[in-house]
Amino acid sequence: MSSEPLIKGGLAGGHGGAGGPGGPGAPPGPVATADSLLTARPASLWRDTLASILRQRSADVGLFILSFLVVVGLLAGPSVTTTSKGLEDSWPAYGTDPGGIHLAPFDPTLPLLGEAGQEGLARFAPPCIHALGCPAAQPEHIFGVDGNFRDLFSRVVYGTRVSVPSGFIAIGIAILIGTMIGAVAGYIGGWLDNLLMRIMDVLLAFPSFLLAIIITVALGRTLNNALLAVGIVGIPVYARIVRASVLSIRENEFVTASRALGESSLGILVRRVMPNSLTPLIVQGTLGIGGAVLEIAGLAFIGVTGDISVPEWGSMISLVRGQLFNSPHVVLLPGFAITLTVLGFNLLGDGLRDALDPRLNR
Amino acid sequence: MTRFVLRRLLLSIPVLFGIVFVVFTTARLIPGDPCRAVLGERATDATCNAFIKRYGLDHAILPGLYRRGADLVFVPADIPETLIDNQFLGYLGDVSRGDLGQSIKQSRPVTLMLIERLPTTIELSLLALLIAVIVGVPLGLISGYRRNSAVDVATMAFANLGVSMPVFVLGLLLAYVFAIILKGTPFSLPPSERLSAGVSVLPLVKVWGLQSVQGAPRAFLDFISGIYTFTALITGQWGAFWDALRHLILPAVALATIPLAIVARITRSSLLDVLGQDFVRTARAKGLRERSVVIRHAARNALLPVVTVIGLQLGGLLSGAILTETTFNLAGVGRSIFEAITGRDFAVIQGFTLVIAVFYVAVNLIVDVSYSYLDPRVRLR
Repeated sequence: MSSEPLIKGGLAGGHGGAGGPGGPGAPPGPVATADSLLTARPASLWRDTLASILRQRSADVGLFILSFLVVVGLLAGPSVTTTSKGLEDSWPAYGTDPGGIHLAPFDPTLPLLGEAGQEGLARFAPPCIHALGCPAAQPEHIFGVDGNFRDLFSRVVYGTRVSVPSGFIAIGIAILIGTMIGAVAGYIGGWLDNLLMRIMDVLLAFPSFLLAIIITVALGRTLNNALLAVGIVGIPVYARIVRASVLSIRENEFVTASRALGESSLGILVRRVMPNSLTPLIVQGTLGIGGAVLEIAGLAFIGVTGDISVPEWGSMISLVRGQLFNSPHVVLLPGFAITLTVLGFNLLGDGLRDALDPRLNR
Repeated sequence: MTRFVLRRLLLSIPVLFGIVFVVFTTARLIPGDPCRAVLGERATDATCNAFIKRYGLDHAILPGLYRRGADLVFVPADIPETLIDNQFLGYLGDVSRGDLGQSIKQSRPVTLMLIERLPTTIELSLLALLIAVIVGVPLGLISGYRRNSAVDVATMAFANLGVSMPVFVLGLLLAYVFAIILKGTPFSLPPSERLSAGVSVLPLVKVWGLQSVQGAPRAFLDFISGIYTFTALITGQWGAFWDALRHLILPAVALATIPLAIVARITRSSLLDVLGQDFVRTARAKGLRERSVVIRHAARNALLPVVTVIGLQLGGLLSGAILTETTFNLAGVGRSIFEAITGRDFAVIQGFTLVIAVFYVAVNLIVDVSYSYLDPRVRLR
């Protein structure tokens, strides 16, 4: 999924020669008979890059974890969202099948106490799986029940819908703004470069999490503002990466050639320079998503995302932190879900880095 | 060398100025009425007017920018006359005189609160860093040298898991394992607070009979006394030392995990880089023992990038400290800032954040300087 812009970039900037070794830059085998040329698969940038990514075991594991989470998120069940009017839950009444595939067995926002088949349901009831010897008299809840008599498994499953995209969105904001700042600073240079980079220095001089807390509170305590804050805090990293690669790429001969051909500065920047600085951006971005998911969960945990009805893992833990000693499942299970998500992004990021940028292979 | 340090020092001045500006304005932009955040919703307008006058909140925040109740008001006509007379320049003046202001909520100087709360965070962060380095570096060296061995695979798997687990989840998990599952065994550890009930660490001024000391030296002594383990250690209060250390282990391990994982990974890859270089082959070729090749030649060079990473991790430690302090119920800087933000206690937000940022800038400076000291090639650039 993240390889898509790289491929476009690699194609557009193919004559720049900055494509990742072993991937886009690798020529097809030199010894080829006319016959084999006809039957062999045509060398494709797409396929070469994808193959070199898939050769990395960590990328495979990461992709597997993330695909699993995406499937879980997509198949969780009917939509449950928070709008300005409050919670909008399209689950039907208890006991009615919502239709279609729904991995969540219950409505994640519905307290189940007193519903048919949920008699004797205890608050914070631990996991109960009939196949593993849980008495049949007790209602089955594979992750147990939370403090509001809601099915924890359904809530954790729905949490995927919030956490996985939130990492993408936050890093998307950081990359978008960071790229613009870095590109302008690196390409135009001079006092503007100095000013922009000193501002980035100031942002980098804060512990990022602290800055994210302040920004979230200043903007208003909502999950969306927390995403924005994590994005803003991430800007300097990407601005620096882009600036550095713009600085080195703009000295290349193919850029001079474009200028000689009369291409405008903006055109050179967008069509020649940017595509060639995409590799480090994609690698850092993928690794950054894991960090962003962690930060968002942390913000939710300390409670600056406000009250959100849609289940979010960090705030789920925050609300029941005091229950650790009596009902550890309500605290630890959402925590493991966060860990799995971050692990997926980190492994994929590691794999991408190893595949696309051997210079960074540390 | 001196020129290099001076240049870096001068470069950090605009950064520090920027930090004061960002902290100041962001804190003032936090929505809501500061008066009612402190005095409660039932405060009358008259009370609030008096309150706002008392704390100088009626002055312009920045030229032409005022806060009236819950709203921010921009009056362009006032810019000229508030160019000098505004809260920001006033604050800048106070800070340059070492005055971080008064906490509105607690009616105490922010510096006093810092002396009380900063030691907790420093103690926690330093122990975490220590754990990260003394465990992470050897692990990284071993797994780099014995690449693809069981140790290597296990370390890297652990490192991946370590950087992926939120510090609060790990903290809660540790608390559950060591305070509940292992309860009653010698391995049980307390999951919150800094000392057990009834245990206290005698402050240095009492132990050394220096109650008459006042001013800055006293502040310094009180500050050091707040670092319980250190104070108890140097004054021989063994019972209190053991208790304080036991309370510190779980939060420190939770906080150390991410930097530990990063240090181990960087050490490993750095050693792999170095082992492939010519001077290592030369060292082997001239018949040095393998141990000497790895430790004296390779490891020493491999640790250069590790120094940078350790420095960079300090910032991350401070971020993690906020979450760790919340998880383990410790009254440190992170928790104070968070409480101040929710209570709109401007002076505390500004003072604490500023101290952390200054500390962060200083650490980066030290890392840069030590790096150029360790690697002469950096200086030549």
